[in-house]
Formats: sequence, C-alpha cells, structure tokens
Amino acid sequence: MRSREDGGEPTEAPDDVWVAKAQKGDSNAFGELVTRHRRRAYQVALGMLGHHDTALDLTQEAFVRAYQSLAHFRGEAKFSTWLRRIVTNVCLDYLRKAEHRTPTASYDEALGVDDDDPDGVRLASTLESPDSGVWRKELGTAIVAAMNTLTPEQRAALVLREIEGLSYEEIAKTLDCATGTVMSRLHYARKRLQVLLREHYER
Amino acid sequence: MNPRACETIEPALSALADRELFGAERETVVGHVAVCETCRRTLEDYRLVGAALREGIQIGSERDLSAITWPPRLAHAPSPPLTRWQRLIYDVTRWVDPWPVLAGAAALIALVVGVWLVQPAPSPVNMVEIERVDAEGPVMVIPGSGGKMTIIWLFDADDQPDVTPTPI
Repeated sequence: MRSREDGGEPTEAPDDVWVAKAQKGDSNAFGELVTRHRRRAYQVALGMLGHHDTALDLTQEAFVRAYQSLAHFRGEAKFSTWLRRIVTNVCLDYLRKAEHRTPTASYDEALGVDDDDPDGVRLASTLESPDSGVWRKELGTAIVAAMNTLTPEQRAALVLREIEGLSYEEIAKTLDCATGTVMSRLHYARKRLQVLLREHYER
Repeated sequence: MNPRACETIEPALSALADRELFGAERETVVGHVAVCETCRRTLEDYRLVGAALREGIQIGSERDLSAITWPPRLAHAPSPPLTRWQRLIYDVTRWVDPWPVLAGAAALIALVVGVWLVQPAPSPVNMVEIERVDAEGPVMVIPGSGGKMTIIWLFDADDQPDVTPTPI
C-alpha cells in the first residue's frame, strides 16, 4: 500500500484502517500513521514552540503518547483531530513547565531567541528565505519575540486558528475550554502581537 | 471616530477577522469598521500577522522531518508495546526530573529507618523483677534445662513501671 506524508495526494487506505491494525499491535501500521501526520503535527509544535529541535522532540513525544493511548481511541473523531489534541497538550505541558521553571525567560528558553546555540533553527530564521530580504528576517525575529510574550494558552489558540484553520468550536474542543474563552484568547494574543509588531508594518 | 466606540468594538474584531461573528453583533461591527479607519487598520494588522506566522511555519516545516519516526529513536523512549509499569516509569522520568524524586525517597527511607533505630525500648509492663544485675547489653538470655530459658531485660530505673516485685 502506498503511503503519503500528510496533506499529499489521497492514499488507498484511510487512517482508520491503519489505526485498526495498530490497535491490534501492528507497529508498522502506526509507523504509516506517523509518516502521514508528522508534518502537520510538527507544524503545530513549531508554531507553539518556535524552535525546530524542541518541536521535533515534542512531536515525537506526542506520537509516543498517541501509541500508548491508542487502545482508548474509539474513532469518534478523526485520527488527525485526536492527534492534534495530543500534540497541543504535549506542547502546553512543556511550555507551562518551562514557564514555571523560569518565569521571566520561559519562552526565550523554549524558542531559543537569545541563546547561543548555532544549530538551533528558529521560527525567526524560517522567514529568511533567499528572496525574503532583511525586512522579512527582522519580521520573523520580531514575531518570535512577540509570541514569546503570550501565554501558552493564547499561543495554542493562535496556532490552531492561523496554522490549522480550526473554527472556534474546534479550538474549544481541542483546548477543553469554552468558545468564549477561545475568542478572548485570540483577541488578546492578536492585540499583543499587533502592538509589538506595529513598527515592522509601518515601515 | 469616537474612541469609546472603538473600545467596545475592538474585542469583536478578532472574531470578525475569523468569520466567527454572526447576526446583529456582526452587523454592528461591520457597520463600525466601514466608517472607522483605526479598526480597519487593526483588522489589516491581524491579517498580516496571521499571514507572516503561516508563512514562517510553512517554510519551517519544509525541513527534513525523518527524525520523527516509528519506532522512536529517542534513547529515553522504550520500544512499544509498553507494559503498564514501563509506561508509568517512562511518563514519570520523561516529565519529572528523577533526581529530586529519588533524593526525596532516599530522605524518607532514612527518616523511617532513623526513627525505628532510635525509638526507646518498650516499657516492661507486667514483668516480674527477679534481680538486678550489671550487664553490657539490654537483654540476656540464659538457656536452662528442659527447654526452659531465663531472660533478663535491663532498663533504666526511671522508666520502670510501677509494678510490685513478685518474690520467687
């Protein structure tokens, strides 16, 4: 059976076929699910964490958790929806823990904004494509720094909306909160980013 | 435009940008935005920020993600399927720094053992005083004939209960 990496052309077998096989102990079937969904899962993690290596680690961690909990997956939602929730929760756990550990510099640590690690690939540098120019690089850096000031919950809501394109109701289910809370978090997150990034757009 | 009107409308702008505003509330906000340059700029800023974030993530996720694989190659992750205990140990060690926990457990064990070692000997209630002797240890056991034995239990006179010695 031909496989695909998330979001590509349709494949012959839907997710639930692989899920059923994986639930019966077929590790290769779960490997197929990992291959299909890892890019999408990584995008959520990268958006929330802003750091390539950390996003890789936590995406892998999310798949480990998904495998461990696979027996509880009843197929009431799509596998991708269920997995997205796990990825989001793994990242939220990480960010909350980082925030608790170093309250004033938690996101700097998570995002690697100010560290000296030359191998760390950051969200900021992802905007530095060959044709993007200095302004784009500066904007990327500014976005990372601005995201750094958001709470983990605001960040999650923003990523699920902007990257995943979820409705408020879907975000509320993913984050286990009320729709009004989602609206509020998005409002404050965007307001904050608008204020912090205004100078970049006013050039 | 009246700044107070903008303050009232502003919390709903984000929902308007996401097409999550409906009915009369939507009409009110749309009507305000139509005549308010400030709120129009805010909406445009929201759009630009979202677009930049999406672009950054899109470019970032074009990297090689083969490190995310199955079974996981992470050293700390045990290969599935996991037993209940393997899963518990993995979860604990993954999310909880094990050294403070181990140090706490060691301190607790030391405390329990210490308390057990220093606790005073039980008071000799309902004991019969035979005679007082000098001895190194607190208890002397003297085997007798016919399977009998004599036990001499020493204790401080201050701790001695109020019992009347029984003559042999």
